[in-house]
Amino acid sequence: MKHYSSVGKNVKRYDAEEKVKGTSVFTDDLNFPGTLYAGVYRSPESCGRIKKINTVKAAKIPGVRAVMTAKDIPGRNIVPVVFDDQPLLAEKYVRYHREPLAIVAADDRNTLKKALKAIECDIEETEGVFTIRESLKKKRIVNGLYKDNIFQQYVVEKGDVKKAFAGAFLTVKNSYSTNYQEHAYLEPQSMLVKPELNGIFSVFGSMQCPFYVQDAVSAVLGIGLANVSVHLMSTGGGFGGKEDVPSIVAAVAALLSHRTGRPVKYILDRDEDISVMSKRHPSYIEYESAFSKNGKLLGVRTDYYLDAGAYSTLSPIVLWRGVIHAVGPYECPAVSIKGYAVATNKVPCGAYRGFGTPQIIFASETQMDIAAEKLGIDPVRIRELNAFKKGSETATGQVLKESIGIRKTIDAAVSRCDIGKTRSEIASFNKKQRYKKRGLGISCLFYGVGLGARGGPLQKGGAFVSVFKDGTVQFSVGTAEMGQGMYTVLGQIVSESFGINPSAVLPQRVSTEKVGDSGPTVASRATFISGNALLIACDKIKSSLLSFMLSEKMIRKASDVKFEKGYVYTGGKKKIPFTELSSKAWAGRVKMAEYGWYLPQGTSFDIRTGRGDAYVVYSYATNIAIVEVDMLTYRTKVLKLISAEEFGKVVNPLLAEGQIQGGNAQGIGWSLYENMVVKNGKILTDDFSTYLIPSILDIGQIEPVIVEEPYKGGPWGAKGMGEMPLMGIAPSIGNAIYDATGTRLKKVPFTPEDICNGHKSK
Amino acid sequence: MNNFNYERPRSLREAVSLRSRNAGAFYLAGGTDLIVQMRDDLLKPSLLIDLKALKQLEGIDMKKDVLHIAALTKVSAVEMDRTLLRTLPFLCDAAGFLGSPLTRNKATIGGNICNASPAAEFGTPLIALNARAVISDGEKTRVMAVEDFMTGVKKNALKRGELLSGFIIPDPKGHKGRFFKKSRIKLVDLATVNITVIKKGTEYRIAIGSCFIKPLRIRTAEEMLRGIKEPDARLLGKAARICAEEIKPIDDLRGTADFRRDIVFHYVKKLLGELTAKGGQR
Repeated sequence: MKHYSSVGKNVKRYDAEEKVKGTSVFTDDLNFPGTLYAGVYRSPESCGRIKKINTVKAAKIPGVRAVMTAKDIPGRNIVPVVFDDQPLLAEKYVRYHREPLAIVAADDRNTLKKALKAIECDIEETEGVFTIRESLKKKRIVNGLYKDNIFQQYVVEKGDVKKAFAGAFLTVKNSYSTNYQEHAYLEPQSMLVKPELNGIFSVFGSMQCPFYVQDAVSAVLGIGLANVSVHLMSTGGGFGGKEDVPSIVAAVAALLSHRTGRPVKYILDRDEDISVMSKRHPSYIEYESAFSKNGKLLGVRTDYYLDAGAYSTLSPIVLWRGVIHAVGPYECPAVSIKGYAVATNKVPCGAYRGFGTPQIIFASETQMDIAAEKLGIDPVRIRELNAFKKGSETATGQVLKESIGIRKTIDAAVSRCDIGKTRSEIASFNKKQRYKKRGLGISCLFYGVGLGARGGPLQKGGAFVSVFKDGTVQFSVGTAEMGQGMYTVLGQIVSESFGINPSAVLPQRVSTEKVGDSGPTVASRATFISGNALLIACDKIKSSLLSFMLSEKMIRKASDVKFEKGYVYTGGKKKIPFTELSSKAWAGRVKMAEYGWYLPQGTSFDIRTGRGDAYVVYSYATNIAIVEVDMLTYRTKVLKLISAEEFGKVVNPLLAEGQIQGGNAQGIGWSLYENMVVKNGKILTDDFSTYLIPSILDIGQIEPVIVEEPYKGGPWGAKGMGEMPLMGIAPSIGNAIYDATGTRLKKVPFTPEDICNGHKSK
Repeated sequence: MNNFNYERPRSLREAVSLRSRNAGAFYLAGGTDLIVQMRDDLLKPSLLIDLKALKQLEGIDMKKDVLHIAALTKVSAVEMDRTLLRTLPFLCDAAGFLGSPLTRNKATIGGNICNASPAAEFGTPLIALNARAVISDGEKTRVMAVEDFMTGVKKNALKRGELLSGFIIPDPKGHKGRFFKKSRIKLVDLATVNITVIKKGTEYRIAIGSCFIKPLRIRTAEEMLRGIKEPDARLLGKAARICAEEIKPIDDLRGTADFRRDIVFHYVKKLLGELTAKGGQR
């Protein structure tokens, strides 16, 4: 086994100190002289034809510098994502409540508020479509481009499903539904656009995908991509909520900056942010599973519907990931998976940690539990029986070859929990207690790392590495640091390559000026893609250093050389400090700045047949939840959550545990507390006193367990992991509630009312 | 937020006089409700009268078996007051459920009652304690039951030119009580239901919040239990049933009316049971 000096260590976050001290610079901390404040006038209706937007009064208010509507956009009136069907500013029709109609720039926030109030619109309201069910009836069409109200559909089919179900010992059929989830990032959406000389616009902001933002600004201004430079500021959380929608925020600021020639800042208030930015899709799922008598999964038939909202945005890709993961980490010879992204007159949904998988995992893992009970098989055992192993085939026919950690995660979770003892403790607690009942639930999952086949041209990543004469190193990548700790993890990957202390390696702020379009920072891909690109750059530099050492007779053959512990070993015990070599190489005019370009290999997927290798590699997780339900208030408390995760080689265990803790907490929020209320397309819960996220007191004890199963294709064996900790929490809690109360919940979130009703109806 | 004038009076009389001269004036105590509403433009005061310099309006004091809690006493001070923890710990519990530690260090008990939310944390314990509100006009004071002081959603009985200076709790000793708050998350959330039950000798008091336009005493249930030392489960159930019937809850984002009745029924029964069981502490 390889000995690592930097990888696998709890290196302190590069930005820990500035975050603790509060000195990090966020977008709102930027103050250029003459900066204007931007705001958006939004549709008061969910659906209708725009007859008139009157901005005359607003434009006359002193201190108002620009008021613009769709007709004032110099470039294309779009938000570029997948199908480009969304206008930045509505022109003829409004399709969701608070859709943007006009934008304003003013000297200060008070004037801005007055101006927004002075704008009037005349909208001929028409009846909207607000649920998946209504939309599928096709009586009213949300968007003329999609005559059947369906943005995208996929089919994945394998084996003889009819036969599998006909010959099954047990079939289980249920419907499930899930509600929205709001990202609730600490920092709201923020962008500042500043005009520079020579027709260039600098964009500073909070985002996951600088290259998406560059695209959007270039499109609405009708200028070249080279005229737009996007710079990432400290970003206070993304979770998918800063994947595509920051494009909208930046485009608004850019239009106003272009019009006024001044810097323009657009920062959303929390209520605006909650009501108009993307969210996790609500879903409706019909799921049917077939099992043999001994618990083998024989077939799955499922229809998966996502409530996409008024425009397609990222829904086609969110749906794809959901469809690919619909069966779970299990062998299943016969599948028929159908997925639909359905249009409704509501705010467009988009990316959220897990990306279309938490919904379907909730269904599939609840099914697994129901089947286990009906077959009289332990819920752990039924999962072990069906779990992937080397050579297993996924639903799309992909044969798994290496780094398949599902069984390891089951073992790790079960042993950490000491499941036998825990179960008997629960049983004796329940016998004694009248008003409180405890239960234990399990869930398993897998996750395709990176964008996968549907990512197409975005499956790439660049990196730039520069070694200075004193042996310190700078690097740049095209993926974003948004709080997850990417800078630190990538710094470790680079320092491992040169065998130097991570403190000698410093990240450069991410900017479109530094590396080529590296795709988005999503899909748990930053470590994997940027890490690999960095290693390519590092290898190029190391190879130049080797040639230099050979030519300088410092070594006899390249294979003697090792980079370790701050030294370069030049054969046997002979060594030279890396700092000294850097200085010599600098004097010898060696090229010590290199560019790395990484392309993940080996995905294939045929959208018509639904077959092929969907992702390069998968990560795996098993969750065990232990809950206590108060049988008087029906409040569920998570006592303990054990989350065993396998994602190759772990680069920074502490940061990985942080990701697990945070993802688990968000999963608990979605499962138990976060309940978006929408009436006629209007979001009623647009603040944190009505839309509740759990506080530290509500999440219980989280126990991360990291399991390693290195992957040869990953940087130092790493895969990706950011999303997994959220994905399987709902079924583990739902299954635990069933274990405690006997009430089977098929709707997320699990509200006390639902548990109460379930309990009473028994 | 709109522009406003700001005054920081040095005396009670000055504060009251500022208020009576300015129709659009608001008192500023902790500000944890007021500032939030101002930021959202729900309130647009022309003048804020900051009461924080009036130190005489702060403090907890036991005089001759009467407990005085001044209006500007911080919620965190109520939560951690030694006398209260000994005599009326359920009042401290109620304080501990309000907002977050940060809110509790700013918010005041007087502000909580003047703001008159049906879900006010101090509503049910104070009315169950028969607490009285002391109202000053700068010269004279008048006293009324807290139960009458809160008149409806966000409404109180103060007249222009008056100020709530504090609370009196007569005869605070010998109360056994329980405070219960059901909210969706543990902290930083408003109550779906809150309940205070008190037993003093063989007298029972039951107050329920978040189930009507203001916190309610359920006197029919109290009367039914009066004089009974150890009511049996059937009787407690009956009292709880009355409570669930007499409240007038609504469906809202924090819970449905039915769910609230359910909680009230189960918890009134449970809390009374705890108070009447032998060795029931507090």
